[in-house]
Amino acid sequence: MNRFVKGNPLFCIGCRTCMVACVVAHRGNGIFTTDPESEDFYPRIHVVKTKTKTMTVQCHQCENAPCVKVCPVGALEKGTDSILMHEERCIGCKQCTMVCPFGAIQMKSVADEGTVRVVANKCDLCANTEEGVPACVSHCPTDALTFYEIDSVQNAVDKKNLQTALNAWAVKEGQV
Amino acid sequence: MGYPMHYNNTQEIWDEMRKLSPKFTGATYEKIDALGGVQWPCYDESMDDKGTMFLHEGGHFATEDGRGNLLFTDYEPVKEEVDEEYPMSFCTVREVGHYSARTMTGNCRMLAKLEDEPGWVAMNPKDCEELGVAQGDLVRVRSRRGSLITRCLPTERVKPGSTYMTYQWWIGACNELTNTALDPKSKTPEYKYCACRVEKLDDQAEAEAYVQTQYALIRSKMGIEKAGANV
Repeated sequence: MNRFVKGNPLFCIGCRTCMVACVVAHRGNGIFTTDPESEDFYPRIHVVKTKTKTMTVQCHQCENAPCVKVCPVGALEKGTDSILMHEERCIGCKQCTMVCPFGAIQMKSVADEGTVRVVANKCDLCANTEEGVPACVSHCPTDALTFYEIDSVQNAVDKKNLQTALNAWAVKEGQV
Repeated sequence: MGYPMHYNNTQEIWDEMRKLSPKFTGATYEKIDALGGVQWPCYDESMDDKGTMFLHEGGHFATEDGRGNLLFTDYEPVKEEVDEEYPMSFCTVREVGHYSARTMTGNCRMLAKLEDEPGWVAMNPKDCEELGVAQGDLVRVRSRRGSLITRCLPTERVKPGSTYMTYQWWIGACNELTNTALDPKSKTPEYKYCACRVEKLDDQAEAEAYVQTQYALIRSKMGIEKAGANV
């Protein structure tokens, strides 16, 4: 199973620290010494606010990723435990942006040897950052975001199986 | 102001402050680090004193008879209600991520990326539709005291007939509009309710240019030098 990040709506306060953490992690500390006007802001995680709710939206690193299926140049591909994005291959056709049911992929402008290219911007679980672990998760002030690593899903399911079985016996033995 | 002092770091400053304040002498840097924060009063430096989560526990108050005094005031209506000329109510709230007049947070790149001048006036989507303005359009907001330019933010968070702005902005300076009527006892101005009118601006390009030049002018008057400008 792929590793993935997921938000808990009960804890999200809509502060957008995750968005800032994402941008800074990928840009590196050089961001603090360059001309502010020259910096763009392309987070790979997004906070949505409605009248009464706030919640994060981010890549689910799908097992049967539609974005991988539709990419015509192999810029998106299944890695060992995540969906990889190779920005250098991207032609900006936008098919991935259109097909992702979560809207987790958005387009961004990148400088490339004197020109500007528009490519897909997708969560890489911070693999291409100095820390190497999801910055959104480590910076969320309410711990609303969790990094589910390999086996997370199986472990959670096993726990529930066990609890269900124990509950069934508790009823049988008149303990409930 | 001339008092001679030398501190090697902020911890030394804090240690001096703690030693002079019995109510938080126990809030050492180590304790704050270990616990993530200390709720004062915290009198003792040892880890046994983790601070005070609830005040007046057991109903003990610092009054003569130990009982808490609850006071209330009579309701006083707001001093300026909406009318035909200024048909919408206007309130001011705090921006998340910027602090007060943004003399520091305004120069923080990431916070500026999240929110920047000229701020927003939050309005119910129905009112925006009636006015013919969309999200991001520059509008003029007027009251009896003054006017400002800011961007329209349609949101269900505001009920029809109401508006609010955050008070961190220099161009979208909402206190140009607020009421100077003072509370009779506290003398606080009535910042949180007055009447306003929102006007659509037909020449958006002109308005955008105005915002840019105003911003540059204010920043140069404040002596702000852009980091990286001399690189």
